[in-house]
Amino acid sequence: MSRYIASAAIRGANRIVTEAESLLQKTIAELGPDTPIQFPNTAYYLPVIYGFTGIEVAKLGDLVPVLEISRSLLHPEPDERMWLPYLGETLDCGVATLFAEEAIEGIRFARGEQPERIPGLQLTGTSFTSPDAGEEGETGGYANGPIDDIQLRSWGIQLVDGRMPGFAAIIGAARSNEAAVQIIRELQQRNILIFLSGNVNGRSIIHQLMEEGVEMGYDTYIVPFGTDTISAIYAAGFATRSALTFGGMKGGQARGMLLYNKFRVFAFALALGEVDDLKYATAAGVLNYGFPVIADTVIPQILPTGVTQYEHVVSMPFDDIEGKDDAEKARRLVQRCIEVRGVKVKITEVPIPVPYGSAFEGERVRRADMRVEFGGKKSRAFEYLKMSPLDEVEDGKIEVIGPSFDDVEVGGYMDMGIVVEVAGRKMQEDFEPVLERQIHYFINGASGIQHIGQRDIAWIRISKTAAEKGFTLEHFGKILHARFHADFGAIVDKVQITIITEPELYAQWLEKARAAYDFRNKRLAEMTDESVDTFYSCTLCQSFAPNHVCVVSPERLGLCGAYNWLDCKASYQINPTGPNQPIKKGTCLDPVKGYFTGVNEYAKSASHGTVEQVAMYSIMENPMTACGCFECIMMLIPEANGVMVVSREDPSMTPTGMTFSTLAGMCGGGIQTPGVMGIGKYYLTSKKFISADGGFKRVVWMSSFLKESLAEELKAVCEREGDPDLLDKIADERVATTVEELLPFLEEKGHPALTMPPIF
Amino acid sequence: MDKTVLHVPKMYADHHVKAVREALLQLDGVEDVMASSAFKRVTVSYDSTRLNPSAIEEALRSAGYGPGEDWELPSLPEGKDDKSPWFQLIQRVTETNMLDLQMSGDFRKY
Repeated sequence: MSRYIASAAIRGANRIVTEAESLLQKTIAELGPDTPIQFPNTAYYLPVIYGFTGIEVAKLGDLVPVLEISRSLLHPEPDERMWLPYLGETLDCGVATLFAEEAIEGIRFARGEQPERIPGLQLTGTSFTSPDAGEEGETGGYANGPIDDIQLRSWGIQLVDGRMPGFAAIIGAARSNEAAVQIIRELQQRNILIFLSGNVNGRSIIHQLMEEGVEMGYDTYIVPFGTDTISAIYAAGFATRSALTFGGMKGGQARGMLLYNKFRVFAFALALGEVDDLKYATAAGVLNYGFPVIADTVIPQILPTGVTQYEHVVSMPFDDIEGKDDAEKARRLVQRCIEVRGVKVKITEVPIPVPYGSAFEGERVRRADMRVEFGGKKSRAFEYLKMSPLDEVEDGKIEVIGPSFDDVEVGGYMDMGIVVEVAGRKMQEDFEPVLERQIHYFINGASGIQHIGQRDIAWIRISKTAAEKGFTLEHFGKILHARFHADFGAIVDKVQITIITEPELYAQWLEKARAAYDFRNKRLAEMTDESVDTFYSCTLCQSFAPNHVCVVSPERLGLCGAYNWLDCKASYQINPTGPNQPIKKGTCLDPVKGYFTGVNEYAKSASHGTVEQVAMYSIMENPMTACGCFECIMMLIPEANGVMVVSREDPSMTPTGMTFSTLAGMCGGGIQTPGVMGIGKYYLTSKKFISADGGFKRVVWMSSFLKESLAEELKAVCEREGDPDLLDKIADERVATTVEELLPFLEEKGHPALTMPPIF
Repeated sequence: MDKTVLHVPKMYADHHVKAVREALLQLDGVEDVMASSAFKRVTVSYDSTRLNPSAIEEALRSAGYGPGEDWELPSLPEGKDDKSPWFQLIQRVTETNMLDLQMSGDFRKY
């Protein structure tokens, strides 16, 4: 253990705790102890404090005992001549620092000083239907502040399936803008989530990226927290909530939470530029989580393993890194970070002239930056993947039939069709839609390319930058060829791609594609739980929620919405020892509630004995467990004799008196709670949707987001249920956020749930 | 152009750097500020025909960062015993968990 680091960290901790105490005193005097404090859209209060101590900080006065604990964790600086192992003291001071930093951010929220104002900063959102949305009059100018529970959960599936291997908390400013951009691009290409904070002489990496026009926000995996080190606490909050959300832990289970992070959350801190006492103290705090710290300046190192899996603190002075320029040095720096944390990274080499990685999936190409678009309002684009006999497919053949976009004016449009022909001994026709759906993700991974939609409503844009770098139509083929082999190599032996812009051929293929879409729709509609003898498990999330197991059937998709029965079937073919295992249904014990011997046996063993039985079609009796990645939460509303469904996009209050975030705490982490269940939103459209409890007619309240985003599908469900106006009888957050408001609405509309038999 | 270097012990973190820079850069005559929280040192380049160096120190003092002034810290106990909240909050495990040992990365030594 380095005495220098211990001294600096302990010094920093003593000062920040003192600072937090005086700020709290001052703010209580100004605003009063009952002033509420909270981070937006989280059920975990101030998460680090809650995770470590279980204290639910909801108002300023609640911070007084927290800072008392913080102070009691402080130690004096190591003596000049007394050599002791300082690790314990340093780690304690680190925790005290984290508490003080989170308290300060909480107080700043109460004072209206968070998120931090950063003029000129525009963040990319999470959901949009048009890349041009919000171009005019878009608000901005603020750092992101803490990540809300909604975003944490929506990243959940990517964190568990390895698409997002971990996160990097970057503090400070890079040596040059070139180095800053390169560090970010290197991390993005590895799909590592990036949190930004801190400054050096007033300049932050956030400013550097803004100057270089790098898009920041949830969509690009780059989250700017703020321009001081204190805001780095949001990264620790994210890690803490990962354990609470997906690990099924409760506030106060500090040891479990820290071990969970050490072994399951692959994160590290990267300090760019000089390291001051507070940065050392914060580093000591995050070391508790098992996260190592890498600095690009000369600082003492802590190399033995222990609290972290590999080295604790590593110095890699930027000037000493071999490399012809800052970009190459930055590349090596990131490489070292990954080695130190042991981050598991899966990269597919895609031979195209622009950077490639999942982190570019959310990039927008705005009209002003667009070279050409396919689809959208003025043109049409389709994509069609079909299985062909092995001898008819030439692997790697990429053909562009018709004109390229060279002759299209800048900002113009044209029609395009992408036809992918695959062949493989294990390939099945049922896998066609599964693979076709991947085209969206694969194409979106290219920097400067944007893909929206699917089938014949695809909408693709190529940015001017990508076109200038030499991106052509042929590169769509290169991407698809590389990715299908990398991700689906077990079922796909040959991939051939044809890009069609020639009008006559385009029309012919569009007709073929539409016939295939139609055929698939009918086939999917015919697929029922009764028509198969095998369901599939999904234990992907067990890396985060160790006792949770999803049982996926044709009529009930996984609660994350990302895996349906066909996906699981394909996944099993690709990886026979992977998370999607076949479950023989066995004897049907109860066809109404959906009890099967095979399912019960599997659930018991895969949940390590936590779950004895699972009712596939009931929320009231042995409902399926949830990890934390669910798209929606259903909960019983006894007064209305029905259930409500809230989507994770909806931050508003529900008639249960709880928001999505609070509800999520009740049903996540692999716990079986009758009356509460996490589901994928398309389960709402299934005939088996809580069919044992009365089906869709039991839904008395639903987030307006669901009503709007699933409008067509839900309309069909209402017709199927024999009540075409049912959707209008279901309340949403615009008409009722309490039971008192809900009941008169249901009575007025004559909702069927009121006259149905008691739900329990 | 003149330059003055001031020791600011209170500036131990980068949020202080922002406050110090903000206080100094609004002074008429200040051309550049280099504030280092690692060295707790501020280097100010200024035009001496427009600004008196004492005004720089005064600006720092009124922003709460007087040169040479440090935080007043309450005294701390010298040692900890098992009654500390750390031990009350968390049940410490004193025996070595073999699984922890195996996973800690010690194998890398060989």
